[in-house]
Amino acid sequence: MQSFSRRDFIRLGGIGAGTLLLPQPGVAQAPEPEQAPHFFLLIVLDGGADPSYMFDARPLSMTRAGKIQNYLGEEPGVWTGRNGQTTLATRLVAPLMPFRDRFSVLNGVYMTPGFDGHLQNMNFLFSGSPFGGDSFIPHLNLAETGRHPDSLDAVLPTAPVNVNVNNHSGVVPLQPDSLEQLADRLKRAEPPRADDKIGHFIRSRLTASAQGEGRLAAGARLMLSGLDQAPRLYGKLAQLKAPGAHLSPEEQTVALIAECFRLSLSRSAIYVLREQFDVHDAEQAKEQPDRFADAVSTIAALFRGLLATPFDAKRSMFDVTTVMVASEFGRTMRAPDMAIDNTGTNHNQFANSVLIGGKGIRSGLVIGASDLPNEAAAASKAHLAMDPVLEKVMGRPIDLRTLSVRPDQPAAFDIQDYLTIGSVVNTLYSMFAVPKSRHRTIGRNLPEAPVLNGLLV
Amino acid sequence: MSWLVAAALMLVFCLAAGRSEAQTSQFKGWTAISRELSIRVAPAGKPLDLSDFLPSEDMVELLGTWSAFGSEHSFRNGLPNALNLMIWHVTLSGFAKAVGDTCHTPRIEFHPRFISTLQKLCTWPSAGAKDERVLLDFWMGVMGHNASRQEFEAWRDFILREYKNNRAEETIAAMTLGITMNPHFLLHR
Repeated sequence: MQSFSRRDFIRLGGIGAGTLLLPQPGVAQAPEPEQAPHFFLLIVLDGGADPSYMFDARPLSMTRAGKIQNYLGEEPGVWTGRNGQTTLATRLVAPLMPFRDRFSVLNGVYMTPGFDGHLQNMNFLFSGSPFGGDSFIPHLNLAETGRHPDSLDAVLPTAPVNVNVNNHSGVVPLQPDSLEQLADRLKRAEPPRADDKIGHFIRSRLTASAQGEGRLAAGARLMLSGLDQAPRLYGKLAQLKAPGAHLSPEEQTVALIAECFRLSLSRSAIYVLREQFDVHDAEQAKEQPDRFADAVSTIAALFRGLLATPFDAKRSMFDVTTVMVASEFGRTMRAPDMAIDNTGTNHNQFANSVLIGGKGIRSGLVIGASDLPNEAAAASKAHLAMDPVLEKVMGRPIDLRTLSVRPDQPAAFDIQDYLTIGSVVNTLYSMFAVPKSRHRTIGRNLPEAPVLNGLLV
Repeated sequence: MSWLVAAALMLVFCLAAGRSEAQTSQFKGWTAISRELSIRVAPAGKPLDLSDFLPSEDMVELLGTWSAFGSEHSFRNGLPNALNLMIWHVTLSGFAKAVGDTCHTPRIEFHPRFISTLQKLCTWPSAGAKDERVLLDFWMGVMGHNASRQEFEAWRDFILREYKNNRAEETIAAMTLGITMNPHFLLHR
């Protein structure tokens, strides 16, 4: 088995380095600078990305044995965390090598065990319910965290996407290319005012409609809240400088996010990578090496931009931002009844991978693992109960206190044995001081998903 | 038989998926509002073009829009927030001003019945313009049957009280904005 040295990764990463000049926008002054600013950037791989092309790779011997597709056709290297835990990583992650001490890798993360649809699992990522509900991102921006809420919970600076990442109040698409027009038109328009006659009347009707418990009352309450915030938002948007057109898309994005964060316009940003990873079809699956190469290059560019963009005189954007990279789920090893060199893959909600770094995170760690690491490995009875045809790898049991993978092979599936997305979100909640009452449970009638304390600085 | 079970399961899941957002009314969206207004006030076959009043054309999506992903359909950006509220306000303020401007420099084509109501209102603050029937015609012309009589009375009393001596175009603009920013007009019931 080949082992990648740090030098190898730096050399490989250097191939892509230098192609992006770092954005240096004029640093706007935050109107109300926080003593301990803390922001959140979620980078989404859309469609359910196969972790085996990044940080949960499998040896080629498994492909030769017909167990798992591998269109990269190269032996992965060993990626060792500061905590001594290892995973296999493909060369496609090389652009991230310069940042390896700035993020941790979480493997074998369970999404919703009961559903394998995109919508249900994207809902689960955001809200903890396959049917949707309150996204965790607005919770990071609540007054109850002890911070003054920013005007918007999050901005979505990427092109419209087919996923439901922004269908939450306060999470709004705001793209660099539309920003200039918006700011320009807003400067010429009359902002909503609460102190004129018609403003008072509109507010009075919203207040009247907001009484009670019905759907319209709830909508009117959101409108009222929006109206309260609108004048301040208007002022901030008018100050917002559109990123220079000469910058690359990633540079424009980082510049826009930095502006939004500095102006207290939004607490979070959601960046949806343009590559589509839902590769049921063999021809699409064969494009995964290229798609992942592009996606990883973009992630690296975003990391680089965050490090190079100042938040203020002392801190970079990376210093004040927690960054997470996630997909709605992973993928099966192969599709049934298709040749191993001509197969697509299906959805796998039992083993997702998450990268997390930046403010508040102990970085450089490898946490968790998925099972079936080689062609000879046996599946546990718990695995066979959930996936009798062995199409999927599944997260391995983990000691959530020490964050070490357990060696046992459970006889029955119990979600409490595993690393779940609920624990990842609760760890974010813990960092952002979101009250315990909002923490996710592991499942219905089950206890709270444990915070991954070992992941926190 | 299995397809029947699958279809039933799909239906259950779709119904359940809608449940979370069923707790809060969302904006009807740009397309629906444009269509409603066109049906009520525009001449037959000539729908209103409200896009002139938007801060920018690609803001339409921010005001509530349908999207499809495979068999999954969802309505996005419909929950009110500070930004879409502000865009609605800017857009509808522009529309309201254009309705008011009809008294001297018409910019929008309306159907004859609505024009007839506007002509009466353009005599504001005359007693004829303040007639209950004229005010109700204007209210129904814009709001339709979306809101209760109570909402109309609150709007009528506000206009008669606060705009009793104002200029017609200013009053009509306030009337229009007062209706179009009402949650009964903008939100799904």
